[in-house]
Amino acid sequence: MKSLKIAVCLKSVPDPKQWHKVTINPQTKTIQKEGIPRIISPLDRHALEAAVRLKEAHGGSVIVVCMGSPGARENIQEALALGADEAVFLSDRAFGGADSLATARALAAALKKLGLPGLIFCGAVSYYGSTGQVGPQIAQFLGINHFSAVRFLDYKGGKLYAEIVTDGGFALCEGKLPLLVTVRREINKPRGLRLSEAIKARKKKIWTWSSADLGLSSDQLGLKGSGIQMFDFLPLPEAQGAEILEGGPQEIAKEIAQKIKKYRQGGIL
Amino acid sequence: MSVENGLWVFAQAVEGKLLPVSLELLGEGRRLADRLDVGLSAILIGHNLQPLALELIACGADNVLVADHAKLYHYRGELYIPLVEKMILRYRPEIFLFGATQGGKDLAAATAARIGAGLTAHCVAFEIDEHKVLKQLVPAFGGHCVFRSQGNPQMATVAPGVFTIPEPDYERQGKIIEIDFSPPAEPATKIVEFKTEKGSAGGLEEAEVIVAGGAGVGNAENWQLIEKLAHALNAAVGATRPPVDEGWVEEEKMIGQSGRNVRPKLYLAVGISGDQLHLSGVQNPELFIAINKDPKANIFKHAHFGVVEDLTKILPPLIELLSPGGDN
Repeated sequence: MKSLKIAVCLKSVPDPKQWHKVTINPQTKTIQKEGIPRIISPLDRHALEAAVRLKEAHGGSVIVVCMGSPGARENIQEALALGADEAVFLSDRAFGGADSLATARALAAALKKLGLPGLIFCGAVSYYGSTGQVGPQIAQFLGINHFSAVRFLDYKGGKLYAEIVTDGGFALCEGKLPLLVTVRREINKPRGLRLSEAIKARKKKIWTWSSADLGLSSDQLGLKGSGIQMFDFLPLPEAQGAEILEGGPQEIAKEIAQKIKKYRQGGIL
Repeated sequence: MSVENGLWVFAQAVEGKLLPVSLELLGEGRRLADRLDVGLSAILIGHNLQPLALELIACGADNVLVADHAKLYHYRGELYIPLVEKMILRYRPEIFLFGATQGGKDLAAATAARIGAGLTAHCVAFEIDEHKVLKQLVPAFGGHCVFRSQGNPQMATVAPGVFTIPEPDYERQGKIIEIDFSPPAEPATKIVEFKTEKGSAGGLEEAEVIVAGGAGVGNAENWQLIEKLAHALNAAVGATRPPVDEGWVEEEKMIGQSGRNVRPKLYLAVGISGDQLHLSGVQNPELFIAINKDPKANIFKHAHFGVVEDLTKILPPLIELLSPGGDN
């Protein structure tokens, strides 16, 4: 049997603990997230773990594909320390400002250039954008099938078995490769970073590709190649603000309990 | 009103019933279609769909495009995506709205990629501008980002609970258009087994009282206080993203843009900073109390009453007061 080629699409996102520092410039409508530490989008870590475990069980190789600003390189390095064998970094100003459509188009072009892996893993949603669109869209650009929101996975006899979360419950699906899979958190518990692996990972290869390497023109990529455009920002009027309850914990607890009781007695609840 | 060049809504059938969000979108779709003076059509895919088609007409659809086949009973991308693409290419809708359900999001994303159209997620309001372009409002950064999507149709997803279900009128007339479907001879994917399972959200979407916790709860031990308070109030438990990431609570309990939309009458937010990504999922509580030890937390701008204090000092006496036999 041919060895299994597995790809993982990774997104580098601002650390969710510091999202309050992400702001918008109402004039230019640009989003400012400079200076905020970046992490691998958490569900993408589960995707990576699923890919590495599959490789450990069945052989093959895992390649990471990541599109992002120069700061994403650190996240790619981390992915290599977590078990990926090599990585492609799509780094070019032309990729900037991409929506899900332009992102999927670029990632699909990179995956095609890699000779279409048999299995492609993505997180079911990325943090921050959290549209969940990129995975299914990559599959369309590649002309392959996909399973979204997978919570359990098994690979045997050249077929993939995936339990997916649906609107009515869940479904156990079977699919022939090539397939793209987007994973949910329940699928596994990602391993922690080990220093010895991090040192070994420094020798692993990161290929940096620009838009020219993908054979895509600038109007198919980034902001220009995006399907949606933000053209206005409407700030909400400043909220009125809460009345702050004062006193010791006991007093305050009593006051809250009374407010809830009074509210319930009003017959509304 | 014609199905061509109109406004479309994806009507999703699960286990023989329409998902509420499909009807919610018909209500908003009707308003927008009237504004544009175009027809409103529902796209209905599944099996044994006749009664559902009539329900869609009663809720405002002028046309229902029906693809009825036993193989279509459950959502399956391999079958649904090319079918919807075919319908779009044949009838050329101007606008296409989807509920942000598992199936709806997947179908919308994949279809958009196939036809090269833009797709805006997390919309909470729509407007039609003077050029008859759909303005799509998405909450972010303490306001609304206004998007437009390029390509035909203009596509958007909307979370369940954003719009309300219109009053059905079974006297309304509409047209049912059958769409041919034949399953592929050798599909690459199949469903081996299907299990119905109610989500573990604990009735969050219907709850009148919700106690929600955020990062400020601090640890799994403190999270028990949230659970106990909810129990004392006979309330549902909700959360922001960090407690889910920390594993204190299931993902199904997450409230906000990437979680659930809730409409409680009483909302008690504990250790929640009040990021808009969370607050945009909480629709107009009548009584909103926030407890957070950070006096600068954004949540205090939005709550009716605020307590600036460590939750471990406030919650134990509060739980006692609200428990049966407590001083309440």
